[in-house]
Amino acid sequence: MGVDPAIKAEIEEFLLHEAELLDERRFEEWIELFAEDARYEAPMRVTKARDAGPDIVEESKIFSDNRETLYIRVQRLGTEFAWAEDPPSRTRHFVTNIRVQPGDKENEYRVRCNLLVYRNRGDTPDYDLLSADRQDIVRRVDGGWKIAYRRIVLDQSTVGSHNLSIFL
Amino acid sequence: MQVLKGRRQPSPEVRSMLEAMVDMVPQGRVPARIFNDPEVFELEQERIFGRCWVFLAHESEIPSPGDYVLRYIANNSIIVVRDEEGKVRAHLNMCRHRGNQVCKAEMGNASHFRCSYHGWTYKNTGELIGVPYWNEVYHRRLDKAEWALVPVRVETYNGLIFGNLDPDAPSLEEYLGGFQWYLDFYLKPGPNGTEVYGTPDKWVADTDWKICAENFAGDGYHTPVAHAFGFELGYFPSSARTHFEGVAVHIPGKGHAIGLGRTPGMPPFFGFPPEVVEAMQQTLTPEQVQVFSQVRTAVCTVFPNLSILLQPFSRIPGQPGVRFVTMRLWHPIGPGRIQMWSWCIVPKDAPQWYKDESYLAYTLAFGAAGMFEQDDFENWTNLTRQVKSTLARDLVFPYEMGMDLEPDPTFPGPGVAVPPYVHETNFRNMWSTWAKYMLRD
Amino acid sequence: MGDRQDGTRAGRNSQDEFVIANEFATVIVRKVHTRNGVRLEIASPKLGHSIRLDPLELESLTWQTTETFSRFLETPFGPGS
Repeated sequence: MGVDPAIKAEIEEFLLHEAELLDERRFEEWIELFAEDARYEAPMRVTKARDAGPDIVEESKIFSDNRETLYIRVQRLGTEFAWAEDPPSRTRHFVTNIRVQPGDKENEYRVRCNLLVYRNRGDTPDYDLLSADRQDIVRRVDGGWKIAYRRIVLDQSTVGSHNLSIFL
Repeated sequence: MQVLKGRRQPSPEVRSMLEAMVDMVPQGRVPARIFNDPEVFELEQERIFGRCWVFLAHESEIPSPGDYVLRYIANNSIIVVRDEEGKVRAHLNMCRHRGNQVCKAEMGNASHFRCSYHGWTYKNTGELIGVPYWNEVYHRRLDKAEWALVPVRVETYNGLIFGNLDPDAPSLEEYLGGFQWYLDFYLKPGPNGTEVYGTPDKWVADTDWKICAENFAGDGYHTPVAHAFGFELGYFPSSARTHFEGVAVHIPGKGHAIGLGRTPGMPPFFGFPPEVVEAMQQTLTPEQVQVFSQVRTAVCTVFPNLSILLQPFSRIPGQPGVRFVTMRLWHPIGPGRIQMWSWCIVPKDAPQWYKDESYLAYTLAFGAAGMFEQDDFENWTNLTRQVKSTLARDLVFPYEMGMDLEPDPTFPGPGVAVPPYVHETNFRNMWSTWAKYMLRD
Repeated sequence: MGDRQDGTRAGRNSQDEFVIANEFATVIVRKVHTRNGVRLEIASPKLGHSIRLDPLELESLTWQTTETFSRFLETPFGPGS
C-alpha cells in the first residue's frame, strides 16, 4: 500500500523542480519533463446542486493537450509574437499537500497535490490566484522522472484570469 | 412588469458625445471614451441590454422538459428552461416574495422550483403554485396569479435562444433583419443544425464588451499582427499577403456584421468532412453555397454582444485539419469588465470523430487557454486600461478604413457587402447603431 | 426515515436504491420487498416523509399531468405547510 519514503521524496523533489522551471520560464526544459505519450488536461467545473452529480464536466476541457500540442504552446511562447506573455507574467507555483500512491503500472505513481498559482502582470499590484487539485501520473524513466499524465481541476467555474497563457 | 425604459438620463456631457457620434461615426471617428466609462456602462445596461435581443442559450443546452440553465441579460439572472410541454421559456431568477435567487445551480432539471427562503414554489412555466401557510395565515387572500416569476420574452433562430427585456421590441426576425442569411452558415450545416459541445468556457477579463464585439464584427486587420505567431508557426491557410481578401457585410441600422475572409485557391468548403459538405448543399440555398463554399474565415457579431467565428484549423500546423465554430457572449459585468462565455458548436449530424476534433481545435485555439484567444485578451485588457485615462477620454479613434470602397452590387446576400475582408465599414455601422440606441429615451 | 428499522431492511439491496436529486429536493428511491411482493419506496431525508407505492399506484402516476403535481406542491413542504 505505502510508497517507499525515498521514492516519495524523489517525486516531491521532481515536482518542486518542475514548478521552478515554470516560474523561471524555462519552458524548453519544462516540456522535457513530459513523456512522449503524455496528456495534459483541465476539465471544466460547473455549479450544480450537491446531490445532482459531479460538478466536473469531463467532456469540456480548458486544456486538452498531448505532448505535441503542449510543445506547440511552448514554441509559440518562443516566437516574438506571443503578446499574452510579453512582457511575461510573474508566476509562483505553490505545490503542497503532496500525496503519492502506487500507479497502475510498476514504474508509475499517482501523485496528487494542491496547487496555488500566483500571477501578476505589468505595473499593477493586482494578481490572479488560481487554486487547483492537481493529479499527476509520474513515471520512472531511465533513472529520472517524467509526467505521463496531468489533470488540473481548478477551483472555479468561472476562471478568474483574462487568459491562461501560463501552465499549471 | 417593470420595464427598463428611459429611466436613466445621460449627463449633458455624455449626451453631447452621443449626439456628436451621429455625424462623426459615418465620417470615420469614434470617441475613445465609449470603450471604458462608468456612465456609458450604466446607460448601456438599460438602453442597449434592456432593448436588444440578447443571446441566452443554445437549444441543445436544454434538450428535455425541465432542463434549465442560468444566464444573464445585463445584470439580471435569467432562468432559461424548457417547460413540460417542450416550450422554451425565460424567467427572472428571483422569487417574487422577497427577491431570493430561485435557482442557484447553473444547470439542472426541474418541473417546479422551490425557493430556499420561505418556500414559494413555481412551475417551470413561472406560475406560482405553492405558498406555505397560504390557508393558515394568508387566508387564501394572496392572489398567486399576480406573483408568477417575471417572464422574459424569448425567441429562437435555428437553435439560438435570445431574450429581450423590452416588451415593445420588434420580433427577433425583424431585429436580425436579414442577418439570418449569414447565420445559416454557422447554424445549418445539416438537417438537424448544430449542438453545443459540452459546457461553455467562462472567464472574466478587464475589457469592454464593445472591443470584443467589434473585433469579431470583421476585424481581419488585427490577425496578421496580433496573431502573427500563427503565421510564423504555419497555422494559417492564408498568408499575411492575401489575408485581406474577401468581403465584409453589414445590415444597415441593425449593427450586425460579418467578415468573410477568402484565400485564393482554397478548395471549396475546405476542412469540412464530406458528409457535412453534402448536407450543406441541401440545407443552404444555391446562393449561400456559392458564397460560403469560398469562405475561409467567417467571423460575425450579432448586435450587441454575441459573436461567432468559423475557421479551419489543424492542431498540428500544416495538416488538413477541421473547421471549428465558437460562439461567444461578451457579457458586461462592469465598466471595462466582462464575463466571457464561450461555446463550441458542432454540426449535429457530423460523425463523432469530427465533433471531437473540432472541439479539440477550438480548445487549443479559442478556449480559455486558447493560443489565439490569449493574445486577443492581452491586447483588449491593455487597450481598455488606456482609454479611461484623462487624456484618452477626449480623443477619437479613426474609423476611416475603406471609406471610399463601393458595395458589390452582384453579391447575393442581404445587407451591404463591401469587398475586401479588411476595412472598417462594418464598425461604422455598428457604432452608429449603438449611438442610435443610446440616444433613444 | 423511520421505516428503516422494520424488517424490510434485511431485504435491501444497494442495487435497488438510488438517489434522485436536484437543487430543490433529494429523495431516496428504493425497491422494498415484502414477504409476498414489492413496492417502490420514495423517501425524503430532508422532510422525513416517505411513501411506498405498489405497481398499480405507480401505473396510475403514468397518466397524471404536471398539474397533479402542481396541486400536490400547493403545500410545498407537505401537509400543514
